[in-house]
Amino acid sequence: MKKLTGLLIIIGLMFINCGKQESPFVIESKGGEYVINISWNVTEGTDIKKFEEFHIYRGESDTMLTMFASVNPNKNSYLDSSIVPSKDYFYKILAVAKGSEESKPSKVVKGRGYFPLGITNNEILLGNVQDLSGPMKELGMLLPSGSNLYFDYVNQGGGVHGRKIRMLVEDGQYNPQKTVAAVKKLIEMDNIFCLYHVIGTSPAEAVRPLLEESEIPLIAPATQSGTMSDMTRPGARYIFHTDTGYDRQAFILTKYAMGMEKDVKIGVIYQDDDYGENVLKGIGEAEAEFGISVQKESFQRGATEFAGQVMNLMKGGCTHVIIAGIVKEPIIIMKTAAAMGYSPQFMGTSPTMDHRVALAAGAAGEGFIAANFSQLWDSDNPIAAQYRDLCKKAGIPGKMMGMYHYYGFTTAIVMVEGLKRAGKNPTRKKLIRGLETFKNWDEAGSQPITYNRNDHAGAEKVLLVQIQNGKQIIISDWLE
Amino acid sequence: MIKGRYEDENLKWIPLLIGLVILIPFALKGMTFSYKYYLYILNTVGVYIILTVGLDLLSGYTGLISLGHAAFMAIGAYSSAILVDQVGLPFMASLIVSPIIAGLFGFLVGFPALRVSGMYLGLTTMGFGFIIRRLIIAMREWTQGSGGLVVSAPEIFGFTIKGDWANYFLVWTVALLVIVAVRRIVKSKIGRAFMAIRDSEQAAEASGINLAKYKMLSFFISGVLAGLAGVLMAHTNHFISTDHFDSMLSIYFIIMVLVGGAGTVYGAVLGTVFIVLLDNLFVPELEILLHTMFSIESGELESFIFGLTMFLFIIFQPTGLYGMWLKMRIYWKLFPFNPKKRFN
Repeated sequence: MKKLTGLLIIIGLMFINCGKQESPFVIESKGGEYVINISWNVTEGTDIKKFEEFHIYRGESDTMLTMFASVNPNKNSYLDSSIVPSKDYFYKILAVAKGSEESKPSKVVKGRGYFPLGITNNEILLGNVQDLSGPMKELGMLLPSGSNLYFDYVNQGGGVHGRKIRMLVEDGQYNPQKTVAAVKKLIEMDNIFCLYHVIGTSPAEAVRPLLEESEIPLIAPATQSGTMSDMTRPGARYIFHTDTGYDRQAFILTKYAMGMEKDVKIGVIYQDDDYGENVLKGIGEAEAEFGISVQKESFQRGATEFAGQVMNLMKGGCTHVIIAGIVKEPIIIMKTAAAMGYSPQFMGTSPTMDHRVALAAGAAGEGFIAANFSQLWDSDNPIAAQYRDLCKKAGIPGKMMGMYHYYGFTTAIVMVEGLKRAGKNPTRKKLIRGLETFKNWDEAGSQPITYNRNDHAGAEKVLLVQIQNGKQIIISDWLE
Repeated sequence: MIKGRYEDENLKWIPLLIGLVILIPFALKGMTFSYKYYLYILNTVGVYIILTVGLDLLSGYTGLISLGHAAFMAIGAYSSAILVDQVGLPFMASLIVSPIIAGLFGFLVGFPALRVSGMYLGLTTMGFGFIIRRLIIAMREWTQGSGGLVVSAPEIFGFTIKGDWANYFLVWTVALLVIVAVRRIVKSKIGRAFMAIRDSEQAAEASGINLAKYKMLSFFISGVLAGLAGVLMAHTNHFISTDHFDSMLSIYFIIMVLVGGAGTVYGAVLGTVFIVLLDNLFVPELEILLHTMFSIESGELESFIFGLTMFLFIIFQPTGLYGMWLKMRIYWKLFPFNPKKRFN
């Protein structure tokens, strides 16, 4: 009896099989960023030539499929980019021969496209590494606040292509090791779309291998080191620098000093770390180009006493002295020189542009020229005016407003423009391509920014600001 | 003493430890999508363990305090970066040569240790840390000053070790070897000499131990291990700068050893795991919690928690985590016949 049943089943199966014509297709689908790729193989022994075209059916449930595309029979894949990510679609394919004879359709397959990490229907997630508890923690509060001011403004206007911008801030403590851990966390755990601001030169340098590994862009590393836009370094194509490098600044200052008078002897006093390193590079370039020799004096980070260096510069007969310090260094150096009765033309790199220098140096600081890579936040530039307006509306306290807060604001404008140019369906690659279309783009309230495939420096010019009667006045046009 | 009586039993822990170390990455991969982040943290733990076990040998066993161990790490890291990427030495050779260079510097620092001790030695070693930092900056030609140095990925028998997964197995293989090796050293004549020096220099000398020789040896071995940690750190992080090795790091290492229990190898291991995980996983969570519950901006919390942890350990648990574990174990071993006095 058992044998008979088995036989009957087999015969039954054979009948069923005979009645069914095999479909000539083996189909599969694969989801990508905003797309579903459908590919198929025609089973061996099928005569492809007799088919005129293939019809692809699509539907949102596996029973309701309608024809939506027809493709040439020598193709074996179709990229469906008219989908909504994170939603299931069903596909089948069949071939149409001459005289509208149709083949059996393939099996129905399910496909689902997805959003790139950090993007959803209504949000773009950015990762920011600041120094919240290290030596620069003062900036750690100012920069994100300035950035959020602009992001909030954009979000209130509907966001970028309908997506709101959200920024996560991690603490890197201005320490490369901690910064790498923070960036890993942002990439692996929080799944950010891209990095925006990593503060400090060595921390930003330390994340290069990560950028290369995860192919994640870093927009506006918050350091002016020229090494950031050095395209020979690892991960360089993912970094978009927005500031004029210290090396360019030093070069331009030297060039400007040479044009001021006839017999100039230039001296530089620099911080003996990565910052000073980059300044020296620019000085070296200037020395080679103009055939001059610059007297170099160094000090250690955190030094508060500069009498030896100032004495040496005085002995060397320097008429122009470039100070590559931050805030307290130029103040003390200029006061020390005044006390010694030495009065060269003092100049400084962008960190010395801080208005506190003008306040604290007093008479000794009169005439001090500082390089600046941005517009002044209190100038009549329309973006600066908008900044002050937004600050007022958001109730930002007056003591927070200033060059660093404004820096967060202007770099946020660059970030948003990059996202706009990345299009409605942004991916990390599209963001990079979008940023690389910047050409003398001058709407960030900073300076005209240019990026292309081989140049991610963005800004390479400098505006000179002089202290006159205790106030900072712009005294030059954009210098190169 | 509780320690002496049961210490030999610890050998059976080694296979368990090895099994655990191999299993962890697979378990993490199965559990979470962000396993790479956790692996990175564990790699940091592994590198630091190599160093702290060496530091424990010096400070815990020999009783010579060092507040400049990040500098030995820097020497190992920079030596290897220069030897591999600029001189062209294979990574495997550098893995041996660079730690020895760091060891020789340890030897150099060992000299003052013959004369000064306690706090003064701490200050001397700390000064050594500053000197090395200046030295690295001054040797611009090779080290690119304080701009930092890009380091290549390690190549072993033609295979390039890249990514957190591969790094994990490299780092932890070395870390396990170091743990076993240091345990052997501690159990040998050398180890006994170290402990004798720690307990009483006069008594040790009277028993025929050459103080100068063993103190220098202790500094040498400790330097070698710190250098080894530096080599691994440079080649797994692919970037080093002077900021990686600041003097705060040396102090963290001492905290790790103290919290774990000075003078026990496993203590140093436990302490390192505890502190690095506390720093990277617990403190950020707590900060977020404080922020959402009370909207407190708590940037400084980390230093506060470290200070508090060390303070509490020194007062209430001077034998560290490992001492705690030993007490617990003996308590349960003798249960229910435990003499109460012993565990007060």
